[in-house]
Amino acid sequence: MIGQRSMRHKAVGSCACWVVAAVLFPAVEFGAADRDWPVCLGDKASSHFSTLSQVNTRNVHHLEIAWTYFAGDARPDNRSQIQCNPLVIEGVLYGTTPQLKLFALDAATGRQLWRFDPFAGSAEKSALGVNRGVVYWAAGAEQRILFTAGHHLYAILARTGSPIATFGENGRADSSSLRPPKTR
Amino acid sequence: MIRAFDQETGKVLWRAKLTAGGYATPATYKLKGRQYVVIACGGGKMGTKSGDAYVAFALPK
Repeated sequence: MIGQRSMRHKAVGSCACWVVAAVLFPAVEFGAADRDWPVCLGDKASSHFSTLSQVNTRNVHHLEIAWTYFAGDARPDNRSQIQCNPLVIEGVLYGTTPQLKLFALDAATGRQLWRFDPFAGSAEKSALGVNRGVVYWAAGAEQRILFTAGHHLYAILARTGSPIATFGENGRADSSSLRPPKTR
Repeated sequence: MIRAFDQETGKVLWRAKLTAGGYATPATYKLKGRQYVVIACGGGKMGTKSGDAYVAFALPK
C-alpha cells in the first residue's frame, strides 16, 4: 500500500511540474482576452506552456475547485484510465471518458453539451480506453474533432457531436486496412 | 494530489487532492476573464484507485 502510494505521488508530481510551467511563468499578460488550449499539449510544439498569468506564484495557493465533471463510465474492475489532455476552443472543452466516449462541456461550468459513443451498438471495445488527446480541425464554418477509438479514426462535428457522414464511412475511417504486411 | 511548485526555488506553493490519480497532462485556459487549470483524474494506471473525472481549478470569484 505504501509502495503504491509513493508511486502515485511520483507520477502525479510529474504532472504538477507541467502545471508550474503552464501557470507560474512570470510573463506579462496583456489585456483580459480569453485564451484557448486548442492543441493537445498546448500548441503545435507540444510546449505544455501558456503565457496566462492570472494565476501566479503570489496567488496560486488560493486555487479552488471551479467544477468537476464525472463521466460516469469507469470500468467495474477499478482499472479505469484517462490520459487525455483536453482541448478548450471558444469556451467549449473536449475530452474523452474512461471508455473513450468523446464529450463537449461548457468550459466555465463543466456542464455537458453532448457526448458521442464510438462503440454504441458494437461488440468492439478498446482494451484500455487510453489516448493522450483529441484533435481540433476547422475549415471555413466547419469545426471538427478527430479522435481514435479501437481501429477507427472518427470525425465529429464539434458543435453537435454528430459523426460527419462524408468522412470515411459514415464518419469514421478504418485504420486496420493500413496495417503493414506481416513480416516473415 | 496535484501540486504547483515555484520554478525558481522548488517550493511547493499549492497542493490539492484529486478524486483519483492524475496520470494526464493538465490544460490551462481563460474564459470570461477567469483562468482555469483542468486535469483528468482517471487513476487506474499502476494499480492505484481509478476514477472518471475531470477537475477544473480557478481562483475564487
